[in-house]
Amino acid sequence: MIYFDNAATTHPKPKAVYQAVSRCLENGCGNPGRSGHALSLAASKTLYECRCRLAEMFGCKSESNVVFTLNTTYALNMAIKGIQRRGDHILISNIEHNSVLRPIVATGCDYSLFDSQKGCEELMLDIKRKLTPRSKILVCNHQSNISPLQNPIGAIGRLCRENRLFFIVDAAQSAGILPINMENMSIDALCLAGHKSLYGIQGVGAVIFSDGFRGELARNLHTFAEGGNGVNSLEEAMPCFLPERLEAGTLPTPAIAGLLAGIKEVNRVGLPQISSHLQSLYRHLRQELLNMEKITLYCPDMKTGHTLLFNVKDVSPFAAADLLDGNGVALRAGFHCAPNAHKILNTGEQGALRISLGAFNTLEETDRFLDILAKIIKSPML
Amino acid sequence: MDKNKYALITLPTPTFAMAAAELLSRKGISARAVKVDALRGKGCGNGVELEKRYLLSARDILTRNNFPITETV
Repeated sequence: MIYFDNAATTHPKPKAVYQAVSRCLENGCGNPGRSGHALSLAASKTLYECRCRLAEMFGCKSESNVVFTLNTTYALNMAIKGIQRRGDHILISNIEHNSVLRPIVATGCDYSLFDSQKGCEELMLDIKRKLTPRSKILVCNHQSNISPLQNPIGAIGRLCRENRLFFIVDAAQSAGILPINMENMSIDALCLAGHKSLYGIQGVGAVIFSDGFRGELARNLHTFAEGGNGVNSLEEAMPCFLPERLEAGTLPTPAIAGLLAGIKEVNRVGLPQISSHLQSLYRHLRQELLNMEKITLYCPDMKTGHTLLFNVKDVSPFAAADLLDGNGVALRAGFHCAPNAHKILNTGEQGALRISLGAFNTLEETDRFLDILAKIIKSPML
Repeated sequence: MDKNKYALITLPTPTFAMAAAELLSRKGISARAVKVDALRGKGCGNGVELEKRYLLSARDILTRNNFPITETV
């Protein structure tokens, strides 16, 4: 199978990840933070090591500020609803996933969209134009989940700092591919998935709060869920310290063990190497798709990226995806939970087809895919 | 725990306990994160266990690194 659905979840995983999950389940999977026996303490140690690795990878000094979640969506909900208060105004980009849009709509806060299709300078002006005295939070992704579009998070972070806005970044599609340093980029909360380009398994994500989230700021974070976590059990309220303030219930230790192994693999290979490999696959696919008849490639001018969006002329993307699936190609059709991002690209009523690349894809796979696509386009079934 | 030989520094959460044990070990003081008896009125405690002779320096290191020590036993 040619797997081009890595933006949804990466496949396959490094062998070390499968081994770490299995080893954890067999030997080290007590309930972390609950008991004093060896299995529980081993699980706590796995969590702690993973927190340390994540903090180190993303430029956060305090591992205590790494909060485990189920996935990026939960991380974003936790950050947005933890910081937001009634009456706040929130800024988001127009290429956001529903994991940003829906929680913000649910808060009932006013929000404004800024245009990520514009160049950096114009984008900054657009944000400044949309600031109001009630603006408190800016949320945006680093890398779109449907196209090569990126938000310049370093520049946006500086603008947020100057205007005293909390800056929340959705790094679901960039963590493990693009360099991110929370301190240098003035990011207050970084939300990520464990099962995408960090190569862990499904079931774990994280929100990393900046080092400033201590004391009163941490205590003031609204909790997203409440319950047991082995800390101060006789008290009715959640603890005031991170990460336990926001971690209620048993955490997925095997998934966290897998994430830890995934991070080690990403560090072993190196972000520049991963990124450069994805760029070479992207460039090849982009060039070939641009030359192919009956193909509409969106964002055709974007020379770098790891996600391509296209349509086959007069063919529903769902029908095309089915045919590709029948020929051993896994990719995703539709709107990819990002309605505004599709709208600005004018993909139409059915959305489009997305190729999202991963570190395990090869140049040979991209050539095979292009052959299959060419045959399908010529097929009488279309 | 042998109370004559070992001391306990309690901390609010398992993450603080893990971080404290790690920091102390890096400073050459052998310490391990443990679950401890229910703290007065709070329940389910966490802490680091270490040899009594290192208690004062360990306390000093943790305080200087902003660990919110709740009790020393």
